[in-house]
Amino acid sequence: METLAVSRIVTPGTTRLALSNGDFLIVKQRLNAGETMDLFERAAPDVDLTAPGALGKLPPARVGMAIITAYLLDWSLTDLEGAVIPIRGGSADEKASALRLLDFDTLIEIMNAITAHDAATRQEKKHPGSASAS
Amino acid sequence: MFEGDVTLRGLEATVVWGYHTAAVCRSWTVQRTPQGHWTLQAQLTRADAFQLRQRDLKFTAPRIGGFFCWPILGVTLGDTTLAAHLGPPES
Repeated sequence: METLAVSRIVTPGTTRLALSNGDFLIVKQRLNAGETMDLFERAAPDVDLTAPGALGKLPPARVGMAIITAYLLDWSLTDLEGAVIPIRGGSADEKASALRLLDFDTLIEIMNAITAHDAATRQEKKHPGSASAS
Repeated sequence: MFEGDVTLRGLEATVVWGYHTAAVCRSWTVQRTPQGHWTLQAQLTRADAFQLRQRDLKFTAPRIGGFFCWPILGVTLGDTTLAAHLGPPES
């Protein structure tokens, strides 16, 4: 029987998530170890996430922003003149600054889209072939 | 997009592996030989040797109205230089 090789390196793929009104996000398909550790550090600096009950004490807003900035690469959102708000290549802090300028409903829509993508990605990793494409 | 011998030069450019920046160039020259082969010579600001060994690398350089983009077929990395064989430019 042929055994397929499995690489543990995360290939830096991207995917597009649809938002309302034809807008979209370009996000990482999957976070690698370094990006995941950066996410943990931004979500819960100096917190031992392996300690009992630690996950339940995390501030949701901080975790949400950390997940968004970990995954988000680019988007179609525009300013008042119709120009795309530039975030491509920006740091997590720069993306967070742009996100804070949005109306709250849009921020929640982005957070829901990316957390759903994150959950689907982790489900796919646990059970390959079981998750639907986002 | 191009015919005959071509030489393009520029300053800022990047080699990307997916959304990762594998190398940042501070100056570069791309040439197309009469046989149609594309080559890159670049001076580097920084480079990630591991990422430069991966497949599906692209060389991207800004131009008016967008970017030039070539697939990279092979890379030779020096201390501060990079040489590469490129595929045909992507539109």
